[in-house]
Amino acid sequence: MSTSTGISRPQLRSLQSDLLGAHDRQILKVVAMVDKLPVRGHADQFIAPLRPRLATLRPSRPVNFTRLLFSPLDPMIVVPTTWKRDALAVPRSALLPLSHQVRAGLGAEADEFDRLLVPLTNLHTSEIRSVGLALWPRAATVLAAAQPPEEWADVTGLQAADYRAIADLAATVLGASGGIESLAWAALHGKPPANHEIEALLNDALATGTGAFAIIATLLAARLPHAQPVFIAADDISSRRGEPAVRRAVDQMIDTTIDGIEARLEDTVQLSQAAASLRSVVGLLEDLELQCSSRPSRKARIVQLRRTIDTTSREKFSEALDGRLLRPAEALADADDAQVCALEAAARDLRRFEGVARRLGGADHYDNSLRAAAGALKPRGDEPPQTMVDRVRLIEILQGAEAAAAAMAG
Amino acid sequence: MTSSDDTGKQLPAPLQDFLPTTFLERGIAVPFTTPMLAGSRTRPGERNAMELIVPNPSGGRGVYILPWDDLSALCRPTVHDARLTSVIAHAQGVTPTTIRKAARETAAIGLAGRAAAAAARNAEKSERQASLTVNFELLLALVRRVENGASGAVNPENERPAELERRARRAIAKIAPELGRTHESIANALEQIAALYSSIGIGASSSHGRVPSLLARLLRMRSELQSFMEAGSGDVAQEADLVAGALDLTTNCTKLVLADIRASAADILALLRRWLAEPDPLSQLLARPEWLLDGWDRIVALWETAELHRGQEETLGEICNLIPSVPREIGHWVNHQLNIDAELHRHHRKVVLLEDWRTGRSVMDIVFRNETLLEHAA
Repeated sequence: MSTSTGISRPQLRSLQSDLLGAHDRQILKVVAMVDKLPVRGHADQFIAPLRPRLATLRPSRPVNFTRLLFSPLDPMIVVPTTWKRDALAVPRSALLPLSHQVRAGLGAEADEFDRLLVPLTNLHTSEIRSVGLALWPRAATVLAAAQPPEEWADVTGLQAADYRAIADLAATVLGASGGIESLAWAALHGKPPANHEIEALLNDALATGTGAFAIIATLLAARLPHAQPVFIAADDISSRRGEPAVRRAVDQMIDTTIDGIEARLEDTVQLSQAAASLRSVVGLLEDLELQCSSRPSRKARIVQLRRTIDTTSREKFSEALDGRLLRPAEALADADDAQVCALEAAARDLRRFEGVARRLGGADHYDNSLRAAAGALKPRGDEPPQTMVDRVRLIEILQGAEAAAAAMAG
Repeated sequence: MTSSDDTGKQLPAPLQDFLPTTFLERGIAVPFTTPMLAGSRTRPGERNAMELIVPNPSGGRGVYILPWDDLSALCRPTVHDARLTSVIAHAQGVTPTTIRKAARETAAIGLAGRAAAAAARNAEKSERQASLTVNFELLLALVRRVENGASGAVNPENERPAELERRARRAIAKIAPELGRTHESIANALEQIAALYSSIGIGASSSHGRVPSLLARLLRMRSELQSFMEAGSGDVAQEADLVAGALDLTTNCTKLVLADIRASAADILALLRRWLAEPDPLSQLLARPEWLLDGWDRIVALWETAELHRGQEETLGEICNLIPSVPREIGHWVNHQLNIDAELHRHHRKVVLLEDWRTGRSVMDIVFRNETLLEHAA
């Protein structure tokens, strides 16, 4: 079977896997090349698995109309294969047709947005946000009134009936983006939103309907550094209203958030991305645990999820420690600069990962593993001085300066 | 890295108002990789012992001034920093040049990674090459001056190397009696002067030296800051304004000092006479750009690599903590051309307004970032 790039899926996967194993600088080069293409098309497919890593690397990248348009929906965008009907999610394949509709609906105004975006990169966060705040409400109006485009089923692989739900979800989010972005922006700059601000946003959504309420609450829980205040605000509103439909909307938000955790972990392929991904998952789990303490069935699901993630994390860590560090390090004496650099990057990835993973339990497991790894890396008398230094550095990354100094002293 | 609680040693109270009057009192920036030692400096203490000046790790006002050996009272340094501390303790004299040599010697071992080691070795090689180039430029100047445009002579720049060497020897032989020195002492003097000018460059190499290159990078950074300053009245704009102000002061002073230095080299015979009669004042003049720019190589590296790490906006706050204070001694260097009191007053006011920042990333990530800075500031 071949992809739309003209190469087979195994070939594409192999290329993507090579890319995922590349150094940060190589990744940045590839992404810069893709960004310079006049028509990106299939190249986006090639770099798609890099998205979580790019979120960490934050390279300077041009921002195009479609990327800006749907940036408020980011946490809800899923790969088409995992999208489910009735889920609070948008399949990535729907973005381009929706973007074309918005562009057509805006007419000459869309060109003006393009012009504003030309000198900007993703690092001009403040300027990008200003352009977005002008674009999103206009786009929401267009999408709310739009009809399915003719090519919808061909381009997206979705049914015509799916269009309305997806377009409405996008319109709801884009319509509320001013408020959401304002809270997320403040939180990003160290000013967590007050409870009444979250409640105000949710009440506005509820005025539109329980569907919008569920969408906005889910998005806020994903966008803010801590989901707990959103859960509390949604609960409070639900209790005050006492309506089953609102309760169901809150439940849908919680379930979507839990589903999202599972999906997020499945998406994480590389250890370099794993720590960042796990950090947000652990934070969400902790918030969910507090939220679900009075719902035994859901609490049990979360406890089970936590156990699963803990077990998976330990396995992933042990596997990576062995496969990405200890086994390659056996050839350290013959390693060139790039290989040593890769080993050090792997050691740092492992430390970042275990730093988060031990919040799920298993501190002893990680301590013992790191101690054993440092022992295996101990300098050997018969190796050249450069190799000894390389070993000391790996030990320093894994266990700290004291262990490294001790290893160096012999 | 641990706090003083783990080591059992008590820290003295931080010195609240650290406003050094001389560059030596300000100390020399040490490129530590341990996050808690960011912005640390060293200077000679009493009875030749060395002191460590560390910005208050809490992010609050003031600095800690500790005996050099008491570094462990503050934190547990990386292996690289422990070695650097030991190398510096054995260095001859405390100047930006000796500290840079110590830093390169330590980095070259590889304790901050192979890339930093390669950068340190390359920087040493470039400096040796720069010294040879300046020596060559001095010989060209000497030949031109002594031959004084003798008719029929090929321009020394276009001369074959063997012939140029012969003409240079002849020029030295001609001026040696005039200066009351032997040929060898003149040749040695030219080499010594070349070593001192190597970071500044001279003649055709005057834009390639380490100092002019660093100055150009700082000016580029200053121009990039403009867009952040124009962004509004938020924290970022204020931080950019603070950094830009410090950069203006530093680069303007450096340009003036460089102009003085270049003027001193305009007449090669006068330069030689000055060196042979009293080398110390000339050495001190030539060292001024190093003192002025000390610490800024790391700041510009931080800025240039910001997008690989945290982005320029986030990095600005960190840079604000690293801006070197400007001692009043600068007034003696540039007062004839700049109202330094007004400049210093303006700068210090801004520093007081914006003094509290610390980052919250993991120690290991910051150590790694600091190691990459060594590649860009070797």
